[in-house]
Amino acid sequence: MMRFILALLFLALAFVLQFWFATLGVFVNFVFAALVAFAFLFDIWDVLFFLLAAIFIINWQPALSPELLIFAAVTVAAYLAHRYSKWEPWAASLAFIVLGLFTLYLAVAPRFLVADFGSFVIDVAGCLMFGGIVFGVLNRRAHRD
Amino acid sequence: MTYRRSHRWILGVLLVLLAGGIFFAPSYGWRIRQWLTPGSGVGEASSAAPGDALAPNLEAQNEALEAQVAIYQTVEEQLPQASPRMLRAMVYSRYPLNFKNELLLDAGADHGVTTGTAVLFQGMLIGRIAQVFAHESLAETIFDSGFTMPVRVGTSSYDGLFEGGSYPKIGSIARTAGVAAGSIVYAAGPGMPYGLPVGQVSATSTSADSLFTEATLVFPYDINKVQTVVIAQGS
Repeated sequence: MMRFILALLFLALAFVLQFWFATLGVFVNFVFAALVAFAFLFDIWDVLFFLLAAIFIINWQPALSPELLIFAAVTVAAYLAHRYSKWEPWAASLAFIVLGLFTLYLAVAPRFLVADFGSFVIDVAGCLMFGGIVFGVLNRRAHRD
Repeated sequence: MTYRRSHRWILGVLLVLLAGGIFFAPSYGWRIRQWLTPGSGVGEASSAAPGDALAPNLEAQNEALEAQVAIYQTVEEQLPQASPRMLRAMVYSRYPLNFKNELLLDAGADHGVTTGTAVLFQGMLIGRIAQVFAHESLAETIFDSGFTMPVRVGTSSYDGLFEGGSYPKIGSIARTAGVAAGSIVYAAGPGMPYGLPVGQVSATSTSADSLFTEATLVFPYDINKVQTVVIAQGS
């Protein structure tokens, strides 16, 4: 239970960081990074809960957008990768953060990757750092439990 | 983590509640988001009706007024007498990723908002309505890479094409045009009031194909801090 609450706190922190950086004009998908880390640590029902909570708060309009559907699909794909991948979970989660972000950019705005590759690199770097911390802390907690 | 079976139904109920919230009550999500956004003025947007309040950013207002004075001094004789209906609206939420730059406003079809109308902040054009919902509308800002619009530049009204993005610019300005830093840029696009100030030229350069002049812009506000806007209905 403690790990679940800790994950909720990390999700809240991810929102604060993502929205705060956005007000400075820097976009890093901290929430996505947290969700991918969760996908490698929790079971599917917990992951679905975190995913729906994230979509509920991050959605900015009355209708669901293609961006958020892709966002959800990539998170579920991360869970499946965790189930069937033979990689070490920490390595697989970090690899999936990069792969997931690339997929998100490619599906939503492929032109953006070419026009503003620097922003993509900043996004990936920020997500890797945050995702690594989230995975490390929660994984350590799991061993304690 | 292994939960006891008795905890499963609680998670199931929460999942159903969240799914219901996403589809039927997204405004609660926007409120939570405002609480989680530093410096967003918690609760203002959720409780205020359109037209209740304007952000008291005096410095930005002062700069915008200076821009307005400049444009009215320079193009007043050429401005048609238009009196668009103004509707004030609060910013509910913003596009959360970096692919677009959109604002969700708390005025929609029930307030008579229509697609394509201009969105202003302290007298300056900051975007246009891209999508209208029953009680809200989505504004595409001039910082969205998909935003383009015919504009005029400076006292001699040189034609140009505004191209949105993180760093908006004016393209397709004739090479012979005498555009200089400090020139006012104002809207000349269909469907919105003519002459709305957009920004000021900060620097000029020659386009890659050497056929046109390009201009970069400066703006007297920070789009990420805009909390209230005016929708100019009718032209």
